[in-house]
Amino acid sequence: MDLSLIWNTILVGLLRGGLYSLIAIGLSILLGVMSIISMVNGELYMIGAYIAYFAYTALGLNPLAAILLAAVGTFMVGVLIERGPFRYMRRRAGEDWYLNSFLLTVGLSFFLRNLAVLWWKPTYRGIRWYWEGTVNVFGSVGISVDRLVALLIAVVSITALQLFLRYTNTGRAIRAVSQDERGAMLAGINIGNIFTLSFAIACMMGGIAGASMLSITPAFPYMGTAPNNYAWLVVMLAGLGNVGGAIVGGLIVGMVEAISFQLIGEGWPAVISAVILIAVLVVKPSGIFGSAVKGVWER
Amino acid sequence: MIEVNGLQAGYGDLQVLWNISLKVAQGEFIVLLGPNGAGKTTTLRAMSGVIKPMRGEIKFDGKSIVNLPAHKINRLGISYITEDLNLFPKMSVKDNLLVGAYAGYDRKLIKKSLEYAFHLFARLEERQNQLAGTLSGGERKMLAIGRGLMSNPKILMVDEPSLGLSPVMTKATFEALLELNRKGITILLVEQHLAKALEITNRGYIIEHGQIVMEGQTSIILESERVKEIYLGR
Repeated sequence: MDLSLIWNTILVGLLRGGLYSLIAIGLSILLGVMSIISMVNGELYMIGAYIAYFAYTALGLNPLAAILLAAVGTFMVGVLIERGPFRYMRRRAGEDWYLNSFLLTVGLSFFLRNLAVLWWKPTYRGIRWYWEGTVNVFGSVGISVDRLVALLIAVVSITALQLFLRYTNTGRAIRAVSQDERGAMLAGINIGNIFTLSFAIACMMGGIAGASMLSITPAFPYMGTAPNNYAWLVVMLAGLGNVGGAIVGGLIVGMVEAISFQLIGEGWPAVISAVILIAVLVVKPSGIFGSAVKGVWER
Repeated sequence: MIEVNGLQAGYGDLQVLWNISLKVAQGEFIVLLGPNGAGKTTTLRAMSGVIKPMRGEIKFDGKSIVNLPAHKINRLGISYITEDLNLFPKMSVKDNLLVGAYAGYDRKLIKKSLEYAFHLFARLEERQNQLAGTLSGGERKMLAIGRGLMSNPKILMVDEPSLGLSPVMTKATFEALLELNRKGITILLVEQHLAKALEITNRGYIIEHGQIVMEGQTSIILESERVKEIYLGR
C-alpha cells in the first residue's frame, strides 16, 4: 500500500473526526449542562450548510465570511429554540424533563427538516469549491484546499471552545452549572442565561461543521440525520457529558471509518463503528472516558 | 440588615415554616438553633432565594427580596454556605473559588479576595490545583466558606458547618467565622451543637416545628431551663 494512500486515509479520518467532534461536543454540552439528550443538532448542521450556501452563492460573500455567518446564524437559532419551546417546557416538565426534552428535540428535528424541504426544496445545493486547487502536504500527497481548511476550522473551533470553557469567567460558569446547579446559582450565576448560552454554543458547533463542509457535502434537507447518529455514537463511546472525551472519540470514530472504508469498502464503516461501541460498552458501560454511570433518576 | 417577618415556607404540599420572624443587624453574629427537622435549613433556603416563600416578608437593607431569584440575592451581598456545600467536584479548588467571584468585575478585588481566602485557609492554597471532589471533609468545608467569601458578602449564612467535622476542625472553623465577624461580616449561623455555637455568638433564636420559640442574648439562652432540658445531653 503506497504512502500517499495512507496519508490520504489519515487526512480523511481526521477530517471526518473533526466533523464528528464538533457535533459531539455540542451534544456533550447539552447533556452535561442541561441534561438534554438532543436529536436536533444534525439539523443545525444542515442549517449551517444552507446559510453558508446562500451566503456564498446568493450574497457573494467570501468563504470565511459565509462560514462565520453560518456560525452566527446557527447560534441565533439556538437562542430562539432555547428561549422558546425549551424554556417554556422546562417550567412545566418537572421530573419528566429528561424524556420530554428528548422528545422535543425529535419533534424539532422533524419540523426543521420539513421546513427546509418547504423553503429550499429537496434538491442538493452544492458548490464546487470554496478555494480552488490542492496543496501538497508531506511531499507527494495532495489534499484539496477545502478539506484542509475545513479541518483547520474544526481544530480552531474546538480549541477556542476548550480555552473558553477552561479560562474564561463565563466558561467556568458553564462548567459550574453542569456540576452543581444550586452551587452555581448561589454563587451569583444566572442559570437561565447559562442554559441559553450553552444551547446556542452547541447549535453553533453543528452549524460550523455544516458550513465548512459545504463543498464536500452539499446542502440538502435530510443531511443532518447521519451526522447526528454518528455524533451520538461518539458521545456514547467517549462517555456521556465528557466534552474532552468527545473530541478524542470523534477522532477515533473518524479514523476507524476512514481506515475501514479503505480496507473493507463501502457500507462497512458504520458497522465497524457500531461493533466497537458495543464492545466498549460491554467492558466499560460509562464509555472510554466516562465516570461511573448514574441512573438518570439519581442525578 | 436582614428582617424576616411571618415567613411561611415549605416544599410543595409540605409546609415546614409556619411563622418565622427574625432580625439580623449589621455586624452581629447570630445563631439559629433547633433540633433536626425544625426548619433551620428551610429558613436559610427561603432567605437565600433557593425556595420561594409561601407567605411573609424578607427584607435586606429595607428592600424586599422575597421574590428575587437566588443569583440576584447573592449579588446583593448575601452568601449562603449550604449544608451540602454544593461544590463543583470536577473543578479545581482555585476554579471553585473563582466561580464564587463570578459576579465581580474588579480583577484586583478578586485577586485580593483569593489571597484572603488562602490566608484564612492555608490548606486551600496548598491544594489549589486539586479537584474539589478529592478533598477531605474539612477541606471541602473550608472551600465552601472560601467560595462564599469571594463575592465580598455583607452577610454570611452558614448551615451547620460543624457537621461531620472533628472537634479540632470544628474549633478551627468557628475561629475562622469569628475572625470574619471581627472583620465586619455579619454572620447567621445555623447549628445543632448548642454549647459550641453559643460560645461565639451574641444573640440567638431557637426554632422548633417551624416556629421561633425563643430569642435573646446567648447568655440568657444558656441559662434557660427549658433549653437545658431539651438540648443539653444531645
